[in-house]
Amino acid sequence: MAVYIREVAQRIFAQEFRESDLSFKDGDDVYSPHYLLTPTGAKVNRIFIVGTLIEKEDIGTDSEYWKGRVSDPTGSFFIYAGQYQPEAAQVLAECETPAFVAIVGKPSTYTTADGSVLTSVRPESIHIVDGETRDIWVADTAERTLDRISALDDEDSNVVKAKEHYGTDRAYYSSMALDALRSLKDEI
Amino acid sequence: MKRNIAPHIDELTKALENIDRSEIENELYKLLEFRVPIDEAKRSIIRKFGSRSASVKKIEDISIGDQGFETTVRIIEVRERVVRVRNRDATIFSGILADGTGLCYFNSWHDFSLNENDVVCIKNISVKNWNGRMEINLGDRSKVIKLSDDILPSINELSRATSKKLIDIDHSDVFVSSLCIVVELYHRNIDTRDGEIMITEGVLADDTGKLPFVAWIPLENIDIGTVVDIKGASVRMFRGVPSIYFNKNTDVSIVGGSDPLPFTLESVSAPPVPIPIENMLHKEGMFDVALRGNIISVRPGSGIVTRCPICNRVIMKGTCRAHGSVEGIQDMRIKMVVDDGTGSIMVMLDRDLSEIVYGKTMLEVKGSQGRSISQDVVYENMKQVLIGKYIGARGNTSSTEFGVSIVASSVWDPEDDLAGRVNTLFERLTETGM
Repeated sequence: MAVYIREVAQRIFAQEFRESDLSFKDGDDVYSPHYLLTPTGAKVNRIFIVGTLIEKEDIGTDSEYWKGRVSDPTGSFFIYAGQYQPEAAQVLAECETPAFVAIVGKPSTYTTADGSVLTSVRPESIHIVDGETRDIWVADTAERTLDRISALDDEDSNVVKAKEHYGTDRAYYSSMALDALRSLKDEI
Repeated sequence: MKRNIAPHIDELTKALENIDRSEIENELYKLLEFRVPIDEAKRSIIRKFGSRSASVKKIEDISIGDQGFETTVRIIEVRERVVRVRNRDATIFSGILADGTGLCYFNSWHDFSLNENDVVCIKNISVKNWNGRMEINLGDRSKVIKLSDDILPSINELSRATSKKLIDIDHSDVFVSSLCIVVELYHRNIDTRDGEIMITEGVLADDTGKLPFVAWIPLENIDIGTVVDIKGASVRMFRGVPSIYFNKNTDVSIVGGSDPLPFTLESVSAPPVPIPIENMLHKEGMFDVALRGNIISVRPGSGIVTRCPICNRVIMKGTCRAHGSVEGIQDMRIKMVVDDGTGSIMVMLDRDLSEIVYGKTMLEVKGSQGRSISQDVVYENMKQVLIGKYIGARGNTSSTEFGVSIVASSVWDPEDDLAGRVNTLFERLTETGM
């Protein structure tokens, strides 16, 4: 029986997310899902972030279009919410900064005129959470990142593709996870 | 021309073992005379004679999709059941058969007067997938020939079961033996054709896991905490979870306290350790498992709902799909998606658990909303409160075409030992030299 499996919400640190620029579609259909492949081989269709919303700005001209910056121990995520993300846009409009936020969203990429790729998140939902939830997210994300680094020797097609494209340096991403854990240790 | 086709006739004769060679030869000549290409002619002949050339198979050799073969077996178990198909009652006969190489379920839409312990040759049968298991089907064109009793071993010998740990029991098992402990037990009266009988239901556990059981035989001196050695219990699937059935061929013996066991009532009564959600997604169902993750979505239909008093279905505008206009009963529930980064699963909460997780009772919710409850308001507020939260849940999983879900028997706020976890991760980093 073909069982429907919902896309997992991947846990990725901001640094790794920002360094990702390989997006592709699974299949040729109009409705085939889009994915962003990260350097450690996470195939991301949906992402779950808990971080600190530190900046927000309405950059829309005609209608509201909110841009936000969400920080984690390794860097920050850019999020963009407009009229097609009404729930998320409303939260951004009403909340105060800084605030701990939990975001479920889709990765999106934009290629600039000079060819560099900018990654951002299109949020499906944004909710205000507490600091404990944020700390657990950092530990979870470190653990998932280490899981992916240990799986870098696998023959999995996504891992092979990621290594080919990024020439992934595992020491680099291990030390990123280590730094995140250190910062957590100082805080708890 | 005759010379050229001889090898083809040899090939066909081999493929159609019990068809006369001359018959095949005549048929092939006829087709070739009518300018049918040789390959097409051969295929046509195989199709024509294929159903007559019933091949003989052992149970260990059959697979789903096999058709038109015959096998010689002993009937281990047979039950007559009435099912309703397209508004008409039909009697079906189903049970288990075996031949010494394996056991298999069977189902028959015709009365071949099969009795338990009969040794029979059944012809022109097919194998289908039923609830994820192989099932031999006897249909219109099947034939049953009774044979003498001594050509196959006895029922006891044929149904001798392998001994397994509970975690290893799955849909491929027909009979099993296991050493385990009773951790839950209750009695229930049910109506059967032979009058009301009492059955015993409960849960068995060992050091690997837990499974539900149903006993159709009296269990004397067995209570919660009794260690039992079960031989020849049958395995049935219920919502993807294996269930252990004790019937009259099952031997249940009580194990005394002399031998050391890998489990005790205390050790098996501990709550299950949370596992990655990804490990739940490719199973038909799992019994009493736990998970931890973030609530990333609360699905529509959560909040205050109205149910039909007869069938418990959720109803809209006081009208039940099955029972028409009814006086609905109000209830509260939550359907949410929990994701731990390895996978995501639908978690279903009943009213009691919803109240705990949401932090408001149904009456409070109703009170605060006034007489005309806006269900949307409750739903929106639930999303505000729940999404992003870290949560632990425990229950049984099941897989449907809409994905895998878990009906929670309990939920909790995981008192995550964050400092301990961070240290474990540090150790992992040092160990791997990363």
